[in-house]
Parts: sequence; structure tokens; C-alpha cells
Amino acid sequence: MKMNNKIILYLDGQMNGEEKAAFEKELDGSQALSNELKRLKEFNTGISELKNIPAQEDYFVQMIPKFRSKHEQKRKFSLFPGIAYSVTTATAVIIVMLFVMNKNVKNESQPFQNNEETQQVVNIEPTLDAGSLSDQFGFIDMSREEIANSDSLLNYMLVRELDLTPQSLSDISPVDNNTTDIQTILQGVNDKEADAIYNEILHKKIL
Amino acid sequence: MADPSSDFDLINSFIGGDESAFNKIVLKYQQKIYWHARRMTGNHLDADEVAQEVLMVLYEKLKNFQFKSSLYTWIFRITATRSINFLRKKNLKQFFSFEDQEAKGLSTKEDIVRNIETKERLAKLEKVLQKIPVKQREVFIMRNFDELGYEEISEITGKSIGGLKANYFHAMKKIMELMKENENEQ
Repeated sequence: MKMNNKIILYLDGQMNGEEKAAFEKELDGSQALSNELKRLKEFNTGISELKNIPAQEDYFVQMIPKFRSKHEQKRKFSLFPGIAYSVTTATAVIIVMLFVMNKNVKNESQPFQNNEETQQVVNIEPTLDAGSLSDQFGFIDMSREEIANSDSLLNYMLVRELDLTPQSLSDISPVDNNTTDIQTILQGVNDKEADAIYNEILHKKIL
Repeated sequence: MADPSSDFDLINSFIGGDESAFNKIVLKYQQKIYWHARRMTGNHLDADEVAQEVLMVLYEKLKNFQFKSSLYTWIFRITATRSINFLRKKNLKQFFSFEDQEAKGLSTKEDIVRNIETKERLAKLEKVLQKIPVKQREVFIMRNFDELGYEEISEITGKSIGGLKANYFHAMKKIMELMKENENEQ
């Protein structure tokens, strides 16, 4: 075993009686071993002197108040995450609700997003296929058949705008010779007048 | 070692709602907590952080103390664990360079030791201790400064006595080598 190893075991009290006696015998005959032991003993003494270091008493006096203050802060902060979580969740729910409501409102006025689109709709020739226009402008609440049955897109839009259903049409008081047919109503209106009426309705609705 | 019967009364008083009992426990062990943390971390600021963390854990867990070990051993276990965890975190921070050199300098300047000669000797020792592996350092400190026997250290750290003796042996060897290096440098 190396010299240092023996010294460590000796000083740490890890040698049995026999080993200890042998080491002490060896120690008597070796100046180098003796010097090394002396050096390590001095080191141990140095350590002992550093066991109880005189330190600033204020620090230890302040230790508990400092802890109490930190603990109080931690306790307050531990309440905060609960509140923060509730507020964040409520805000998120409100934002989602507003978004959904806004989307619904937009869907109702879907075909007429801006003046350019409005003009586009107004300029559509009555001969155009109403079914394809329905796809283009998203008229999803009427079947293709219903749209096709309309004489023109303009008629369809008027019916839609006035919210006329077969039932409501029957409820309308006859304006001319007991007829409730929308076609009959529209017969007396030429294209220019129809455009003007529709533009006015659009203007009211959009602006 | 602390008086266990007194500890028992203090813990029961604290569990019963007496906050001053906690203060008494802290007053009794604060020096041991601080100095163990100080020797493990090597500077005052880090030791203070560890000590405050230990008090926080003590406060939160003392109500569930089951008297399976002495309060002294339990506090030492918390202190030892927190010190090692702190050093691990610090090493990680330094690895990712979260801690700047300026802060490192500050941590060595601030101190509660006023005597210059003692301060220098302590600084030398801390420098040597910081150069040995954490586990070896822990055993060395507990053995030499906290004056704990291998059985107690084993109870605190959960390590076998044989392993602890080996760690202590390696710590001493390393310290002797470092001392020789220091002497040669001077």
C-alpha cells in the first residue's frame, strides 16, 4: 500500500489493531512517512480551526426574518397562478365566442363584401346560370333546383332579400287582379328600374 | 448532536400551530445548515441561497415529519440534497453560459467573514474543496467539519459505509495532491 494511503487510513481510524501497530513501527523507521504524517496532521489542525469561524452575527439574526419575508412572497405568488389561469381561460373563451359570433354575422352578408362585389352582382345578366353563381357567391341556403326555378338571379336575390317563401307569398295581399305571383309583380318593372331598386336595397343593407 | 427530546417538543409545538417553534428550530440549526452549504458551494451568496431553500423545505415538510430519524439527521439530509442540487443547477447554468462572469465575481466578494486572515484561509480551503468531485467533497465536509460518523453519513446520504470510506479516502488523496501543488506554486 502506498505511503499516503496508509496515512489516510491511519488518521481516519480505519486500521485494525494489527495494521495500526505495523504502521506505527514503519513510521518509526521512515522519516519521509513521518514528515508526510506531520503534514497531514497540520492540515487537519487547519481544518479544525476552520470549523467554528467567527462570522457576522447580523447575518444569522436576519436569517429568519429573511425567510419569513420570502415565504410570504411565495405564498402570495402561489395564489396568483390560480387567478392568472382563470383570467386567461375566461379571456380565451370570450375571444372564441366573439370570433364565432362575428363569423356568423359575416356569413349573413357573405355575397356583398365590398362595393366592387356588389357592382359585380348587379351587372350579372339574367341569362347566367344561377346554379354556378350560387357556387361562386356561396348561396348555400337554397338548393340548386330552387335557384334554377327562379327566372333570374335578380329575382332570386329579391326574393331572398324580401325573405319571401311560398307561404309568405300567399300571405301578401294581391296587388293586381288577385295574383300573388312574384313574376306578375315584377312584370311591370323593367330592368333599369329593377337595378335601381336593387342598388337601393344593397345600399341600405351594406352602407 | 442536538437534544432529540427538545426537538420532539419543538416539532409538536410547530405542528400544533406555534410558529415560534419553527423559529427556535431554525435558530438551533441555522449555523450548521449555512456552513455545510458554504463549504459545498464555496461562497457566501450561493450558501445563503441554499440555506433559504432549506428553510423553505423545512417549513413545508416539517408538518409531515414522522420521527423516523432524528430532526438533526433529517435537516442534514435536506441540506446535503439541496446543496448538491444547487451545484448541479449552477453547473448547468454555467455550461449554457446563463451566469456571467461579473455575477461570479460578486459571489466571491460578498462575505460574512470579517477577519482577513480567517477569510484568506477559508478561501484557500474553499478553492481546494471546489476542485474535488461533489460526492467526495460531501463526505469530506461531513466527516471533518460536521463531525459526523460514517453511520450517520450513511443514514443521511443513503450510501453504504464502504462507499463512503472509499469516497473519503479519494477526497483526502486528492486534497493532499492539491496541497502539494499549492506548495510547489508558492
